[in-house]
Order: sequence, then C-alpha cells, then structure tokens
Amino acid sequence: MELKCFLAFLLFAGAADIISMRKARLKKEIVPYLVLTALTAAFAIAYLSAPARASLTYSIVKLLGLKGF
Amino acid sequence: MFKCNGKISTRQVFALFVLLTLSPAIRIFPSACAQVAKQAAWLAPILAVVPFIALYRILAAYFRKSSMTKLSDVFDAALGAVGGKILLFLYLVWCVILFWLYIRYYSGRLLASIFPNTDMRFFLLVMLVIVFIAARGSLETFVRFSEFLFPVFVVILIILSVFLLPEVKLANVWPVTYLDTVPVLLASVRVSALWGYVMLPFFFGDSIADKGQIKRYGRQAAVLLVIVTAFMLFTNIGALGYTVAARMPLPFFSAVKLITFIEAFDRFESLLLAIWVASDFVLICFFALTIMHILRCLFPKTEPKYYATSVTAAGYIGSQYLACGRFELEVFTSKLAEYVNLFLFFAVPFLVLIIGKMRKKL
Repeated sequence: MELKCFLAFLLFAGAADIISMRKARLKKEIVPYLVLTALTAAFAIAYLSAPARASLTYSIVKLLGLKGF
Repeated sequence: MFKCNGKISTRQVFALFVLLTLSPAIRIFPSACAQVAKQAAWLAPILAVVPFIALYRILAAYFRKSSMTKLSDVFDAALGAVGGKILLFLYLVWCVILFWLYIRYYSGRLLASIFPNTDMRFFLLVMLVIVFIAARGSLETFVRFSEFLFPVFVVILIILSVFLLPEVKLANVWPVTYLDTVPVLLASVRVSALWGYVMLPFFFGDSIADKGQIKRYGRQAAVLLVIVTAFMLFTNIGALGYTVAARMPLPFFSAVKLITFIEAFDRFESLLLAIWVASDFVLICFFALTIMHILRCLFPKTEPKYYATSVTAAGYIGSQYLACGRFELEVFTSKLAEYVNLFLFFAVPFLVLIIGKMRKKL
C-alpha cells in the first residue's frame, strides 16, 4: 500500500510538473527530470518491495570493516 | 532589510548557517563532547573556531574574483570541467545522505521525547510535505523565514541556558588543567565537523548579492557560535555532569526538564521542542534546496524548483533506508559522518584553493 501511494504521488506530481514545464517552454528540462523521477521510483520499489528492510549504515560499516556493531 | 531584487545577502546566509547548526549542536555536542573532553567539554567550541575562521577565509578567497559566482564555478576553474563535475557529484551524494540523516534525526527525536509508540512515517510525511512546498517556493522567502527564526531560536536557547545556571554544579565543569588540552582538541574536531556547513550556502552563490562581506559576517557568526555553544555546553554539562550527559540520547532536553522558575513554572522543554522542530524544518529544507541547486549545476539551464518532487520523495524512502534505529544513526554520525564532513568541508576546499592558486585560476 505504501509503495502504491508513493508511486501515485510521483506520477501525479510528475505529470503536473511536466505540464508546467511545457507551458513554460522548458522542454530541455524534461529529460533530466524524468531520469531523476525514474531513479526515485526505482529506489522506492527496491526498498519497499524487499522482503527484509536493508540499512545503508549497516552496509557501510560492514563494507569498511568499522568497529561498533 | 537588504534590498537587491530576488537575491539574498551574506548576512542572511550567515544567519541561516548559525540557525541550521544550532539544531544538530544541541542534539550532538553535549554527549559527543562529554564523551571525549569530560568536564572540559564546554571549551571545545573555543578551539573549533580556528578551522571555522580558516574556512570562511577560504570562501572569501574563492569569491574575490567577480567571475566566480558559485562553488561549481570555483571547482570548474580550479580542477577543470571534468574534475569540477566529479567533485560536485561527490558533494551531491554527501548532501543527499545528510538530508536523509537529518530527516531521520528529526523524527527520531520526536519519538524519543514526546511521542513514543507512534509510527515514524507519520512525522516523516508531515515534515516532507512542508519541505516540498517550501522547496518549490523562492529561496529568498525561505531565507527570510530563517532570518526571522534565527533571533527567536538564539534568544530562547540563551534564556533556557540562563535558567539552567542555578542547577550547575561547579564540580561538574571544573577543574580544567593542561591535561585537558588533547581531549578538548579531539572534542573540538567533532564541533568543527558541523561548522563546516558554512560552505553549503555557496552552492547557490549566484543568488547571494554581496559576497565581499564574507569575512565580516563570518567573524560575527564565529563569535556568536562560540558564545552560544560554549554557554549551552557549560550549563548542560554543569547541570547533568559529564558521565550522565555522555550517556543520554538528548542531554539538553533532559537538562531543560530540570528547570523550575521561581518554584512556580516548569515544563520548559515544550518550548525547546517547538523551536527545535522549526529549526529542523530549516535544516531539512536547506539541504533539499542545496541538493536542488547542485543538480542545477550538474544539469545546466534547468530550473531547480522542478527537482523538489524527486528530492523530497527520495528523502522519505532514504531516511528509512539510512538506518534501522537510533543506535545505527549514532554509529553513522560518530564513525563516518563526522570524518566525511571534515574531509569534504575543510580538507577539500583547502586543496581546491591550493590547486586553483597554483594554476592561477583563483
């Protein structure tokens, strides 16, 4: 449910932004905007649909071999 | 009020900087400094001001030439187009992580202080909706809001510290001898890691009108930061003792709970919490705006406000992804964030200045 709501927000906000950009004749901005929105959506799907929630801190600490865990 | 048509002044930038460092300062400094410097922890800000002075002088040197309007111009001039973009990308990644970190700290503090057993995502959503609206608005409006909040926050912090003075036990902050020099120096490194944020507003340096005044307002900000932070640490550690302060998650919040005014008024922590949330909003919104302006430097000829959707949406997911709990957040801050801050906000600007001078570009 959380993922669906999140993607719906991205879709509606994205559509509104693109319409606004086209009205303001900012067509060059659409490509980086779409790339960034797609990356955000992919990040959300990867995180929210995973069976176990990952942690960036845990991954970094393990990767660097830092003490503290 | 500074009038310059859609631009912000250096004075406003430094007011914003002081405001956004005070929120993490009251969360992190008391326990971090007490762990290292014990009863001499309150002296740490005095030593930490030295690298801060060096940093704002480096920034003043960057913008001596009128052709340098923002930090990305400086990086491009000193390191070349490719090197500059790589460095800018590194700053982007680190600012995104700090953005996630502060969103998480904000929600974690509300959970730890007054709303235990509440779903953290509720606080995340409320904050990010407001940040989304603010980030889509103009930078000038946001900075003026910070300018308004800045004296309120500083005055309340000083008043609370003054009210804490009767609780201070001299044995908790004294004696301080020459043996405390090294621990205070180590504690000051942790303070400096936060004060390096003075560099970040200059990523939107093209919106800052009078960059020739950096040294003047930098000096004033340094004096204010040292006085407020040292006084806050003195009363906090003096009231609780360094052993207790070092182990508490929110030492200043706990110390404020001790305040009783003429034996009739207490519960001042609600006042602290209110301004703390407002200050957290400024901090989180500032990082969102910085990320949007760095993106604009990476993708030229774009309007930063359109990145607000992706940045705030990623903030919601990223803040949950960053850490599983408060313990991990503290490990992230103490084992990683402080060192990366020192590298990116002190070592890198210095190296960029040296390279720029050697290539005669700055």
